Amino acid sequence: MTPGLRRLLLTGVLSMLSAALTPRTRPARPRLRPLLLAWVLLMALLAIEFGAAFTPLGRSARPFVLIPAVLMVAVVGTLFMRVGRGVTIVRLFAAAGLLWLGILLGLGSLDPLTRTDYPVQTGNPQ
Amino acid sequence: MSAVEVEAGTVKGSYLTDGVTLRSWLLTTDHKRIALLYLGSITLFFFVGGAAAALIRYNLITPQGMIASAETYNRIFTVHGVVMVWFFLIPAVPVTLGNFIVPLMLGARDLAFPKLNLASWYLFVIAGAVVLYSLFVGGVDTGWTFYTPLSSNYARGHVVLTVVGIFIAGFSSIATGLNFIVTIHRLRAPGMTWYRMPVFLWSLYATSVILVLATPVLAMTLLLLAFERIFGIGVFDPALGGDPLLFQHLFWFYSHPAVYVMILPGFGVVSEIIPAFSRKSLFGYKFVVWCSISIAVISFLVWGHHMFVAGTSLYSALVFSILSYMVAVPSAIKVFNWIGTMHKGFIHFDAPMLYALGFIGLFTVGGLTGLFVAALAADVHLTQTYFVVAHFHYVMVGGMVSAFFAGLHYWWPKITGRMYPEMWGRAGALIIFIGFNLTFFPQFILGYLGMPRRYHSYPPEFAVLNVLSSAGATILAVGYLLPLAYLTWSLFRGERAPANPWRATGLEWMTPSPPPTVNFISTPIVTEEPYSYPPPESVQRHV
Amino acid sequence: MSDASYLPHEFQYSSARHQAETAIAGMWLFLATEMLFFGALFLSWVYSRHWNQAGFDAGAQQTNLTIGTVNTAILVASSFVYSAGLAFIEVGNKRRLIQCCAVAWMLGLAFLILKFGVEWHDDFHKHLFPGPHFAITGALGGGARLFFIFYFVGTALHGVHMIGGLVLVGWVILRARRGEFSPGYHTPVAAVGLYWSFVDMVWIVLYPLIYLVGRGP
Repeated sequence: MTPGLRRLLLTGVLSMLSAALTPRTRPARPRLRPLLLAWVLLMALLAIEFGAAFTPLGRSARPFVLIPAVLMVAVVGTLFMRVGRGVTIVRLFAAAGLLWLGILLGLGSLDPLTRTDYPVQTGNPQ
Repeated sequence: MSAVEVEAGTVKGSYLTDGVTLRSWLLTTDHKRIALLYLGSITLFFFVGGAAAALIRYNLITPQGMIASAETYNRIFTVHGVVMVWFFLIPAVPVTLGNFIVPLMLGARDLAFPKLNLASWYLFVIAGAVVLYSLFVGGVDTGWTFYTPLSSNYARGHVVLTVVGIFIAGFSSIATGLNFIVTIHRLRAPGMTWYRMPVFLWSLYATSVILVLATPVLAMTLLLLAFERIFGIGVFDPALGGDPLLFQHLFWFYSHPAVYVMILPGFGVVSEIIPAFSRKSLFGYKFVVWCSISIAVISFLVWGHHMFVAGTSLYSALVFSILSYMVAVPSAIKVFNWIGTMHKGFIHFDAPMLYALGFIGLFTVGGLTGLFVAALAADVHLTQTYFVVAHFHYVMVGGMVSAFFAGLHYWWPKITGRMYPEMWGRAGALIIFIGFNLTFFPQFILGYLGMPRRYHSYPPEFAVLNVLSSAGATILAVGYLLPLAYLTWSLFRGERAPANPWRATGLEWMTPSPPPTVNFISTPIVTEEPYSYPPPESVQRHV
Repeated sequence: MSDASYLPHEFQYSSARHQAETAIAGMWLFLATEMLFFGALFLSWVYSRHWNQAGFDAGAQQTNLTIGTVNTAILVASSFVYSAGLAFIEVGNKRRLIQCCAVAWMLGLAFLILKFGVEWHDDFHKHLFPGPHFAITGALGGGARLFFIFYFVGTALHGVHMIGGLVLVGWVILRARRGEFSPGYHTPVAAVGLYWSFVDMVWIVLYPLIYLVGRGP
């Protein structure tokens, strides 16, 4: 066997060995299952919300129809936007936004809900 | 601290000389240059607002009003308010001192989002141009508070134009606040834990929280106001079923926290200066820190105190009154902590310290008088009088503007590499203190006696106090023009500053004056608590 | 995911991962500001409905429930598809990323066409724009006008945000086609996804406020 042929055979054996020992790389599977779950949940909540809108609630109780919407927001936030993953401050910022929204809507509604509305004579009764 | 080579400052190889073209300044992303761009802008706006203030005090020299028309007077005080609030007080410390010092104090090389920082300056300049233009074509007469239905239905003047300018400025604020919050969370130097951060950083963090959460509400409010004025939509118009108080609730939801945006950075500046010029560690660091955070939070819960006589429900007024008393507590705690810091310290009366001491006194008066107007019964008499005007000028001008000047003098050597002339600095501080008190103390009395605010004329019995106030304003104007003169002079002829002229603690002093573009040659590593000044010699001698 | 320390990053960051996490955090903070922006509008809904309940609800009953509900389903699907695109690029599938972004983009466009091309067109036709020839008069007129003010302002602002979102998603598609994204770097895809899903969230809240609360027995 010439030195050249020996080298060729050695290279061939080594590369076959290397190929056999390296795991076959295939694109990994994407994490679609939580997204599909989210989509199903959202459509279900949409249906519930739609149905709830047609149940007889008093005029003042109508805003409770928003409850499924709030749940939908939670689903989008956790499963699409993945607020649970990512660094801690992501959750801090999201929580702060929600808390301050609560302050705006809650404390802001306090006045109209507790105000005494004195009826005023207007010129043109509408 | 890591061993960073610091030498007597030279301007070779600093951020000032790193690129000398106009383009290198206008397209910079270096936080230090952006801070200077902002400094130029807010100085301009300060003097525009100040000119309006001069006209106000000029008008009030005589009971009939020196300026003939009430409508013109209304436009003047509106300009004063709009420009001073949105184009000076809210940005001042955060965009100049904050932009410059925050990365240095953190041991970082820049803010988290440098391009966003530059964008915020351009937004600010565009907003300012829109507002100055609207002033130029006649302005608006609604007051900076834009109450409906005057602003939506009846005001003659450029409401929409002014409001668009403020809307744009809001985005500049949000961008700055967002940048600071993310930077403070993510770019601290190794070893700088939260409790090793100087209070200036905590204060700017608290300020930024308010900026990002309150300003969007202003944006929507101004948008609705603009639609109301252009399209007559009616959401604030009772004739169409709307509620004028909705405007006030939305407006003050932003504008009350906004006043804490104005003052919190001042608290931060003073918390840096008092320890440095008392050569003593800050008393009660954790108290000061958590008071800053609680002020930011509670500030969102008190806005209804601007509406006690507007027609809100008594129940909601009571709630807001109690909460307003609560918000005063953390501020008071800070004042005690600053005094505790000075106690048994070795005090140096350099200009920054004089301004800081002035701040403590004037802010305390302003803060305490806030409690008068927070009481429902007293407010019925005091609201819309000069008492309120004096109250907020004591906190905003006596407090915040003094703190701005304190910080400007304190960090001037770091920013420019030059020392300002110390005697002129002290003179300026004293003139401002005297002029300020002469201008605004009489206004407490005027308000108590019943003189309404925003009126261009007044009954003759108020004449003496008004003349005193206007005289004080002249002295105050001199006090504000002085730093403009000697600080500008110092840029060319001031003594070259060393890296740490005040021998203060803090990472910003560990780099040359002025700093190189990258701030630190090698990333500093923090091992000490903040304000680790050596114990005073008197204590050492007794040991 | 490896640290990918070979990836470039700006000089103030210690690594590419440090920068990527910070960018995502910054986007979340921006979205918190948007919550407060729309929150102020929601407060105006509370006030307007509180003082004019009957008229407000009468106005709501004139809205097009079919289009509103279909639009909600479209946006939810769009958010789902975009998120799937992000999941694909996280495992290196650039082709699927582009396809998903394109579908999400088209669903977004469909929403805008239905909303502004069809629904608003119908609303103007039925004189529901709160101008001088407003359709509902009498005692309920004031409240109905306020409802439609909220409707037009709210959907217009949401629409502006949607258009911004379409620009951003389009930008992501362009960059993806140039091969700029990989499992090691896809921060813009994630950040734009957050924005896109958030705009979806705003609609999810607007939908009942407009179409459902005022309706029903």
